[in-house]
Amino acid sequence: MNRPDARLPSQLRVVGATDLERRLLEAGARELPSVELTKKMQQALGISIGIGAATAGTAKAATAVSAGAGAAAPAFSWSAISVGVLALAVTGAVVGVHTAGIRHTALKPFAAAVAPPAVVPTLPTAPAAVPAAAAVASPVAVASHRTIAAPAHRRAALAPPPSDLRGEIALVDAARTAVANGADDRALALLGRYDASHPRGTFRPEVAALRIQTLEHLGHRAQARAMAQKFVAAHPDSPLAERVAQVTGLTVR
Amino acid sequence: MLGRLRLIQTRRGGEGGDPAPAVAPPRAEADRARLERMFVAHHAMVWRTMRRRGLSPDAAADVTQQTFLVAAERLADIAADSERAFLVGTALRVAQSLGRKTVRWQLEEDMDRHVADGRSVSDERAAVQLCDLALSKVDRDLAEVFVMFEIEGLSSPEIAASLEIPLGTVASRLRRAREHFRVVLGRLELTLRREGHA
Repeated sequence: MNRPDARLPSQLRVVGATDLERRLLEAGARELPSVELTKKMQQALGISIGIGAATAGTAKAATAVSAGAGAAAPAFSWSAISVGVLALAVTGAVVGVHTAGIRHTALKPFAAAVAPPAVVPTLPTAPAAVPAAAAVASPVAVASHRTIAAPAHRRAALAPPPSDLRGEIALVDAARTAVANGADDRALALLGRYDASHPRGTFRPEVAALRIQTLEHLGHRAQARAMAQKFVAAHPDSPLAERVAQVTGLTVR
Repeated sequence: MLGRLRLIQTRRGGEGGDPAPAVAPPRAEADRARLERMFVAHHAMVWRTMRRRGLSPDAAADVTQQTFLVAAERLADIAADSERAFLVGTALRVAQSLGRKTVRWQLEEDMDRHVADGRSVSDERAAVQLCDLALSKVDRDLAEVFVMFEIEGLSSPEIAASLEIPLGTVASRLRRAREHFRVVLGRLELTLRREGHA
């Protein structure tokens, strides 16, 4: 949500935050309860539907990435200080990722945007139009939003194809097909599964956009709209932003 | 609030247990559907708000669970556009009623210790820890507003409704919270530089 109302300024992480501030705030916003905790809560409430699989609340462990809108990969590098402390468990050279904007602009219209096969195979040798998208294809890059220690395109060229990208693609494809067929419940379940199995997946924005569309279909308009607002704020330049705004009737500034 | 919770649990025959026993679903199918939808839409936000308050994952889940129990009882009173405000406000009051025992940071004042802890885990988690650490140094009243607005994206009317404070107070608390948060992060950065991590 870029501007919840006129009385408050824009969110700090949207406007005016330092890299460190934005990184911490976004990390705080991405955290989700574990699958186990979610199930426990569901059981206690007598909620038996496949919510765990159908929503944002089921990414693994406490460091999972938000499934909802606004779950952008950090489109910045850590400051030197945060690199020293927080870029942990990184062995050897690490590759920076500025994936969010690049990835989104490389993926076009709503349905097509979640048609990764058309995009992914070209990533390692992506043409100039999407040069840094190659970084997305790197397992290192996909698995983490680390620091920049080498040019992303060079690293990506050396990196083997991502091992789990195919699984991501299959899930997103299946969800997209479900949406197209009007099987919205199934779509939500698939999107939830994506979140749980790929908390840092390459196609999180596409998944978030599909979820917004699905919620809109299901009549959860307020929720879809709120998510769309966050999405647009997080990905203002993405074609997906325009699409989710259109789907939810959001007025984009 | 706690009294109300006890009442609810007693009425449902589930008092005293932890984890709370399964409760009967709302009678009306529409209520059930709504509760499920609310849970789908907002449970992560409620849980996260509690985490940012310093609760452990389990404690945050307990509070979230109790919050939705309250919501289940009061569905008719919750306007569709005020669900988030109701849930967050309820969760904060539930957490308050639990006292300080669930707050992680209370006895852990050593900032460096947390930083050191962060070295053994992923950077995402370390970032979450540092976020919480910084928030723990901000006055609670201010931090609540900060988290609701900066992290969860609630509007000022929602925040005002959650905390039962005027809109102007929301704005002033947010402004002061930002100042505090930035000061804390600045200190944190200095600490890290001293430790040679820069």
